[in-house]
Amino acid sequence: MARARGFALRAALLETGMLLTGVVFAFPLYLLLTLALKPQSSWASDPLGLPTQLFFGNVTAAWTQAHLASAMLTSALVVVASTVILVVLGALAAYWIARRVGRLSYGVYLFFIAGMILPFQLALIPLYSTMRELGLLGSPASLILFYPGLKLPLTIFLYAGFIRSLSRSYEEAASMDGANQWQVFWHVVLPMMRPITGTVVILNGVFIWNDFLTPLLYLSGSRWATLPVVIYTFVGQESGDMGLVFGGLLVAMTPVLIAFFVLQRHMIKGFAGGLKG
Amino acid sequence: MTPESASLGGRPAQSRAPRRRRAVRRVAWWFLAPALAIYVLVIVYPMLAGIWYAFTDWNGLDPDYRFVGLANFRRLAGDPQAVSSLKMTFVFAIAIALLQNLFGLALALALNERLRLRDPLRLLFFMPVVLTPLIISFLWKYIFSTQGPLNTVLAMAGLGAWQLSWLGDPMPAVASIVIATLWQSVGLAMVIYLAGLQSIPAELTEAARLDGAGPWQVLRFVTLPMLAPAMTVTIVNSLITSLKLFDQIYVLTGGGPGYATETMSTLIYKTAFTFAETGYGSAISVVFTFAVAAVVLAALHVLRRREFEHG
Amino acid sequence: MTAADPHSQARRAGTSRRTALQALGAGLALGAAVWPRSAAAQSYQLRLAALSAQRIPAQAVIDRFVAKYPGSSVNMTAADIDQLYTSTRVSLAAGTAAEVLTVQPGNGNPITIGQLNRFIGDLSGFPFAPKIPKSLDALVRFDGRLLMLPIVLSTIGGIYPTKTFESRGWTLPRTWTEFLALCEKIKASGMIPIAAGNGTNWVNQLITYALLPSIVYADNPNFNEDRRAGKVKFATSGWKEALNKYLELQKLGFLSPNPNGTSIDEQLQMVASGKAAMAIVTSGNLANMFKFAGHRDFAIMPIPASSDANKFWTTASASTGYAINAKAAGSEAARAFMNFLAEPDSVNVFASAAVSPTVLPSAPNPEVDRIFRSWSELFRAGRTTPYPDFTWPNPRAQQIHNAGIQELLAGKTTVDDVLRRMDEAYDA
Repeated sequence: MARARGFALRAALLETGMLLTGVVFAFPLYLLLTLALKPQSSWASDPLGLPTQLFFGNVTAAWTQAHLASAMLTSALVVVASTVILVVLGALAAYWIARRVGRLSYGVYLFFIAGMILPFQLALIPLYSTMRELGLLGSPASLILFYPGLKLPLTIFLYAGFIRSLSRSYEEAASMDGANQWQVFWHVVLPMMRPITGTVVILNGVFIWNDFLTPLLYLSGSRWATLPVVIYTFVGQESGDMGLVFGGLLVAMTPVLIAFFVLQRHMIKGFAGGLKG
Repeated sequence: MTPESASLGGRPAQSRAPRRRRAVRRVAWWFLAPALAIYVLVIVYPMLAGIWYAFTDWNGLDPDYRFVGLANFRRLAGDPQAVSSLKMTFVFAIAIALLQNLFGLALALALNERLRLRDPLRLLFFMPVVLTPLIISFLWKYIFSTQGPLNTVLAMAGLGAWQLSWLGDPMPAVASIVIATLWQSVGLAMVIYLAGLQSIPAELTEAARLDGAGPWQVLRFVTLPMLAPAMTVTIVNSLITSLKLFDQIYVLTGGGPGYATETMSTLIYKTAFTFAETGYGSAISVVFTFAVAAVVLAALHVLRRREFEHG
Repeated sequence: MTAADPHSQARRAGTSRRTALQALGAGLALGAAVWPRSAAAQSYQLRLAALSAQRIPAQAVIDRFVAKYPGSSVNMTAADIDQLYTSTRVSLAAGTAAEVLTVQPGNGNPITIGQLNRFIGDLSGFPFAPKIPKSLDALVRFDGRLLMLPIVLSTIGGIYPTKTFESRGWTLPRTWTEFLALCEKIKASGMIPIAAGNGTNWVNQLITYALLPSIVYADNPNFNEDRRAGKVKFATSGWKEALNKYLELQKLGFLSPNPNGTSIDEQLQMVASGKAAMAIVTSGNLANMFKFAGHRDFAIMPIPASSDANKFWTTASASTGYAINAKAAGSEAARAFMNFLAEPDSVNVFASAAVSPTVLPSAPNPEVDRIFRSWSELFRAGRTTPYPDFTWPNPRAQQIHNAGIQELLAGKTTVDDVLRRMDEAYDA
C-alpha cells in the first residue's frame, strides 16, 4: 500500500518536473511568437506577456521587405532537385555496393563512408574555386551539384544497410522472369525501399533547407538566395529594428514549423531510425 | 551484426554467409558511376586539392602562387589564435556531445514512463532539431543580449546576481553557445534513446526488479548496457556534428570576445574568405581534418569496445 | 515516316510560317534599333552594395535617380561593415558582385581599394575626377588609378545630445584631463559617461582612433610613412599610450558595463534614451542616432588625448565611397549612376541625409555646420589626419586590433602583447 502511494507520488513529481522542463524549454519559441506579434514599442513595458491583440505589422513588413517568398522558392528548388538526385544516385550506388560481392565493393563503401567522418572544411576552398571555374557561382546549380556530393555518403550508408537486409528472392525471381538489371532495380527494389527512402528524404531535406554557409558563399551578391541567407542579410540590415527582425524570423520559421506538424511522426522516425541504421 | 556497426568497422555480412553455389551477381558499373563521379568531383578531388594548397601561399584569386613547403604549418604552430581555436573546437565538441547525451538520456528515461504528457513533450523537445540553426541563433542572440529576456527573467525571479554578459564575457559566451546548440540537439538524442529503451525487452527489467534491484541498479546493469549501440551512434554523431559547429558561433559571437569562442570552422572561414589567405586556411583545414578523424576514431574505438563488452 | 506523311506536310507549312514570322521580328528589331530614341527614355538597371549606415542617404539619391530616368531600378542591398568585408570579396571573386560597390580608402581592411585593386574599375576618365581635391589623392588613388568616388567626410568622436549638455552646463574638453573631468561630472550626475558597443567587431578600434591623432600624429604627421618604412613600430610608439588611455576609461568606470556584450545599436540607443552621455563612433552613425532618439539635437565632439591643448588633433577621412565593379566598368547603367552620384545636387541630398560634410563641392548646410562645429575648427587648422589604418599593407593588423581590444577589455591580454601581434601582422 505504502509502495503504491510512493509510486504515485514519484509519478506526480516526475510529471510536474517534466512539465516545468517543458515550459522552460518552450521559452524561446514562446518569445519568438509573442514578440513577433507585438509592436516593438510595447516590448519594453511588457517583455514577457502575451500580446493583448495580435499585431501583424512586423510580419507583413518583413514579408515584403525581405523578399522571403522568392528565397523560400529558391530553397525549395534546391531541396527538391538535390533530394531527387540523392535518392536516385544514392540508391543505385548502394545497390551496387550491397549486391556486389567482394572486397572492391566493400572498399568503395568505405570510400564513401570516409566522407561522412571527414569535415568538409578542407574541401571548402578548392571546391569554391572549382565552382567558379565551372561558372556555376551565383546560380543555384552550384548548390544542386554540391549537396548530392556532400550527402551521398550518408545516403549510401542508409540505403546499403537497408538493401543488405532485403531478401534477394524477389530480385532473383524478377531476373529469372527476364528483367534486366535496371528493370529489377526500378520495379522491384526501389519500391521495396520506400521506408528508407522516407528517411533519406527527410534527413537530407531538412539539412539542405537549413544550410547556411555554402549558399552564403556560392550565392553572395547574386540575385539568388536561400532562406537562411536572406534572413542573415535582412537581420544585418535591420538590426536596429528588432520588431521587423522578429517578424522576419517568424515568417522564415513558418514553413519548417508547418512541415513539422504535418510530418512529425515521419520526421521523428526518420531521424531516430536513420541514425540507428 | 547490425548494418551500422558493419559500417563502423565491422566486416560485411556477406563474408560470414556460408558458401553457396549461386550465380555471382555482377551489378552493372553504371549503377555506381554517377554517384562516384559527383562524389569525387565535389568531395574527394577538392579535399586532395585542399591538402595541396596547404603547402602554398595562394590567396584564392590570383592564378599564380608559390609553393612554400611547411611554412604555413610552422606559422600555425606559432599562431596563438589558431592554437586556441583548435582547443575551443574540442571544448565545444566534447561539452556538447556529453551534455547532449546526458540530457537526452535523462529526458528519454523520463518520457519512457507512462506520463500523461508524454506525446506532447516528445514533440516539443524534438521540434527544435529540425528548425534552421541560423534563424534560431538570431533568436538566442536576442535572448542573451545584456538587456534581453534572459537577464530580465533572472531579475524578475530575484536572481539578479546571476545576470551576466552572456555574449560579452569569455566563459558565459562559451556557455551561451553550448546552451543554444544543446537546445536544438538534445531532442535528437532523446528520440534515439527512446527508441532504444522501447526495444529493451520488458522481461529483462522485470526480472531484475524481481531480483530486488532498485531503479538505479536496473539503470546501471540492464538499461545502459542494452543502450550501448544507441549510445555509440548518438555520441559519434554528436561529435561529428559539433566538431563542425559554425552557424551558432558565427551569429552569436563571431568568434569573440577576442578569440574566446573562435573554433577551427570560424577561423578557416575568416582566414580564407575575409582575409583571402587560402593557403594558410588550407593548412588549418588539414590540421583540423586530422584532429577530427583522430577524435572520431578514438571515440568509435572506445564505444565499440564497450558495445562488445555489454552486447 | 515518309514524305507524304501528313505530319511532315504540316511541319513544312509550319516551317515556312515560322520563317515569315522570324523575318518580321527581325525587321521590327532592326527598326527599333535605328529609330531615334529620346534621351528621357533611358532606363537603367543596376545593383548597389551599400553600407547600412549609408542606406538612408543612398536611398535618397536612388529615388532622385529613378525620378530622372523613369523605368530604372537600382537594387540596393545594405550590410554592416563586418558583413561587407566578406561578402564583397566573395562576390567579386565569384563574379556576382553588384555593379556599384561601397569601398574604403587605402589598403588596411578587406574592402579597401588597395585590397580590391584589380576588381574595381579606374574612374580617372569620369567627369567628376578633376573635382576630387588633390589632398585626398593618397586616399582615393592606388597604383596611380582613381578607384573611389568619395562623397562625404567622416570623423570619429563622441556623439552627444546638445540640449542635455547645455542644461547641465557641461563644456567640451580640449585636453585629456578636461575630458576625464567631464566624464567624472557626467558619472556623478547619474548618467553613464561613454556608451560602449564593443560587441560589434568594428566598433572596437574607434576609441583608439579617436585618441591617436592627439598622441601620435600631432607630434609626427608622417607616422604612417615611418611605419611603412619600418622606422617605428606600434609597440614602441604612441599607440601604447593610446591603448592604455582606452583602458583607463574602463578602469575609471566611464565605459558602460559589459562593453563586449553590447552591440552598436544598443550603444546608440543608450545615448538616444538618455542613459549615457556620449557614444564614440564614426560620424556616419548620426542618422541612426536621430532615428533612435526621435530628434536631431546632437553634435559630435572630437576627443582630446593630450595634456597640451595645442596638440588636440582628430581624424578627418573620406571614409567610405563608391567604386565600380571592374566587370561592369563598361556598363552604361553603372557609369550613369556614378556620374549622377557626383552631381552637386546629389551630393547635397546624400550629405544632408548622411548629416556629414562633403568632399565634393556642394551647397552649405547649416545643420551639418552646427553638428560639426568643434570638428571644423580642428579641420580648418589642419589638425586632422585620416583614419590610421588606411596605409596598412594587409587587413590582418586591423583584425588583431579589434579582437585585441575585446581581449583587453576582458582582461585577457596586455597592451604590449596586442601591439606586438599587430606589428607582426603588419610586417608579415
